[in-house]
Amino acid sequence: MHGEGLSAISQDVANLTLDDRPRNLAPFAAYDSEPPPPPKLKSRGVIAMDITEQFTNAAQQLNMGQLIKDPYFTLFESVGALEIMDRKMDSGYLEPGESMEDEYDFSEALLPEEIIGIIDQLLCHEMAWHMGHPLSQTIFTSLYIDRLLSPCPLTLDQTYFDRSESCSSDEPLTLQILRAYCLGLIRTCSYVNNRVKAEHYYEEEDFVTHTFNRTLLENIDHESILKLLDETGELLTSSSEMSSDLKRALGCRLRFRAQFLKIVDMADARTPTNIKELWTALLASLPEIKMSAHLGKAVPQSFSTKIQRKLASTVPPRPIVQVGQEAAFEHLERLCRDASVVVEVLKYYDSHSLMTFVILFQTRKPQPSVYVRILLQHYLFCDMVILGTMSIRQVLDDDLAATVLPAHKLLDRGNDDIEVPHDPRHNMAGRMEVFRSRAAGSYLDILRTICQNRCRIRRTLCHTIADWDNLQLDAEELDQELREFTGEEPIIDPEISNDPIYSFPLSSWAYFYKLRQMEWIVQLGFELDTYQPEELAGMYWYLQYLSKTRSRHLERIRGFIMKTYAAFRRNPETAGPKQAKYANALSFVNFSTMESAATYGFADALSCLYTVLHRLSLVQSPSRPYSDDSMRYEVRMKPFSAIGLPELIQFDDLSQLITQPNDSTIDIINFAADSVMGAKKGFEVLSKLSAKDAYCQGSHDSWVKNIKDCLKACIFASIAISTVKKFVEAAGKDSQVKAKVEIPTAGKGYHDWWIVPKIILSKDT
Amino acid sequence: MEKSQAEDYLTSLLNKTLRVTTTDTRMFLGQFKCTDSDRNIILSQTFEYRLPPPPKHLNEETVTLDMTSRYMGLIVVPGEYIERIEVEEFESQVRGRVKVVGGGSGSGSGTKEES
Repeated sequence: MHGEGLSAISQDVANLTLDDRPRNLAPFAAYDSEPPPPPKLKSRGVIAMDITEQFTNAAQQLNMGQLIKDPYFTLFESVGALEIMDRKMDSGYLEPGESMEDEYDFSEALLPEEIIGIIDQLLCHEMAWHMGHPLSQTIFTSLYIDRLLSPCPLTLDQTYFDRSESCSSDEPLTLQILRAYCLGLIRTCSYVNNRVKAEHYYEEEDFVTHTFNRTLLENIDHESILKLLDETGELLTSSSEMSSDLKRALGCRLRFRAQFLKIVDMADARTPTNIKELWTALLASLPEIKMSAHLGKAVPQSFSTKIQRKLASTVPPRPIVQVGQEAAFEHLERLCRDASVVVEVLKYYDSHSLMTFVILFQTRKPQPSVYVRILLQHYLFCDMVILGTMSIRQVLDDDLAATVLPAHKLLDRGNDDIEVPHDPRHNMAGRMEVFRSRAAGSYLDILRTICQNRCRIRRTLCHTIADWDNLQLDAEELDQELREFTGEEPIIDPEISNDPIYSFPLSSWAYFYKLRQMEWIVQLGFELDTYQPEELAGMYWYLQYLSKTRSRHLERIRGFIMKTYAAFRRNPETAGPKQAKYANALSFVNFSTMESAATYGFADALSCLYTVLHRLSLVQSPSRPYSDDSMRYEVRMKPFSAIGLPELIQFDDLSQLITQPNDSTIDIINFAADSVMGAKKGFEVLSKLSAKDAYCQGSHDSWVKNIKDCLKACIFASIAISTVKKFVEAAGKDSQVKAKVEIPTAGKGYHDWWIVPKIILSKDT
Repeated sequence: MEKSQAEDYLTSLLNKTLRVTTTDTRMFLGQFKCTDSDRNIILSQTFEYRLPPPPKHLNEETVTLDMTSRYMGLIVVPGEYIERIEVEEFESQVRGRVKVVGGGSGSGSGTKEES
């Protein structure tokens, strides 16, 4: 019995491991920690006895399937074991006749053309790494790079490719150029890698920081590498060995490398620097390299997949990643451009503009490369100091003031100094501190989430809205407690309710952001091609529902701001700067209301349009025998199902609302036409707002472009609606319409969040 | 050897450091965790040791080369590829049991290593 109990427990434990441990299936994950140093094969007192025979005999005695194993070793663990001599798992397995090492003569001098070829190939590999491929299949496939990294050099003197020479003075110039370039390259990678590792990203999804247990020359001073690059450049200029074309080509590559290295070293700084100019200068240096690329002569034998066998990796060699020169330069150019823009985030205007900046920066197409996104995170959050100058409290208070609590005593810094426990101010300060400690993380998480890749943003938001739902509840409690200390006078309006109405500023704020995030989740769903064509009517309906809810909520917020504003104006003593704060909060609420009106107008129109297309059988749902609409709806809405407010619309109600069975097709399409016109006007007004009024200071251009794209989509939709309207009018009731509908995939329309169908007339009669 | 004896013997080896040499002359050094009737062996915290490639210019003198080692972690060596199995023990423990071992009869597959 006892034994059985034990085995049952161990079974349970084994199951626990199975279910609970986040299984990291990444092939490199096992090597994330430094492996222990290899044991010495010979040491005193230890001897190895040959037991082959005894072992074999003993093993043969076992029954088929019987195991002799360490009781603490579970079969579950054994699944992760690498099978030796298996060509797919054993990275050390050699095919018959295959050798471990490459035969490559490092002492052989190379032609200048070949140096250009290798350097350009290395740049392609570097960009491939930036695009998300592992070092092992990119830069580390270069035999020259391998030579520099293994064994790990401690000084520059140990970095000569040709190790047979004791004296280094006769290193050919070409090899010195290559060596200097490679050293600069590795050091650049090391800065980039360390920066990426310090922030939030998804390993192997966004980027592979794994260095396969190689250090990226972190022992070597970066100044000395820069010096070597400069000296080599000078040596090259004074050399008479090669033609001036080649000299120029090599020279600009050395200068580029030195520049890039300097920039990635400096890019971390959040104090004002000339980093923007440096990125622009780097961008400007690229054409010269591109123009001279044709001079290069490839040296394919200096790259090898075999090096991967020497790396700490559990996978057998994989092919070298091939990224073309065109693609590599394009990526690098974009990186420079994006990086020069991202620096501007450091200029803080207001909390709403900051969020707009981050959102718009991330919607750039194609999405900025990982390194730039990481820089953005670094600028934003490093050391919990926002943008390098502000405390989290400052940003949070700014945001509260600009949304729900303009010039409010709850945000008065003076409250902190009151130490009398009975003083309401002391209590306000205490409660606000509780709120801040609860809300700051959630607020910053929004920003951090937006810095991730597009799919992750949506996925993470689906999780964070639950957190915001709780935050709203917690804030409600605090709001109630705070009333006692603020002495808030409720609104009493028997027309609305017999109970007094309080402002609930903190939970209002949380609700506002929760709604925003819910809207983004739906909108990102359009961008990421998440929804099937037959779902679009429902999802656009949901978007307008959320947006309308936000609009109503903003109405409520505005009401309370107006009320306090009126009270404040009656008291002339407190005028002055506070006036501006009220104006600012009201202006934000107005702006957000306008924006939500345009959104729900457009969403309403599209929802109706898709409903009509359904009725005309122009959008059809494929048969799905294993599920029904309500089950699919339940799965689709899962993130929203746990949210208390706004309540999830039940499927039956929703299908009624979408299909509108009591309205005629012509009524629905007329409504769509009205809605889309309203939305169009809304977007037009929005597009004319100044940076300050649109809360996009620092990113006004991108903002205008974004709104203009919405406007274009809107106009396109109104054309589609009027086309459909003509059909409906001409065809009369229930007759077949001779047309086809094309639903553009993401990235093909005018705006990713607005999927506008294209109506195509059929040719046949 | 009887079955129970065989089981005892193999169990006594559990968690000892084994050196398993495979048919391709590599040697794996790690802690013995599990085996079965096919002599498949699971080792944990394993290091792989490989004979270095032969030097290019062979002189008559003997050369000493390091065996190259690499960390592998948890591995399973299929029985069919196993050429030789050795167990590491402390000299002091061995002295009590076995009389003649012949001073470190087999340390690794080669004799040239000095890691």
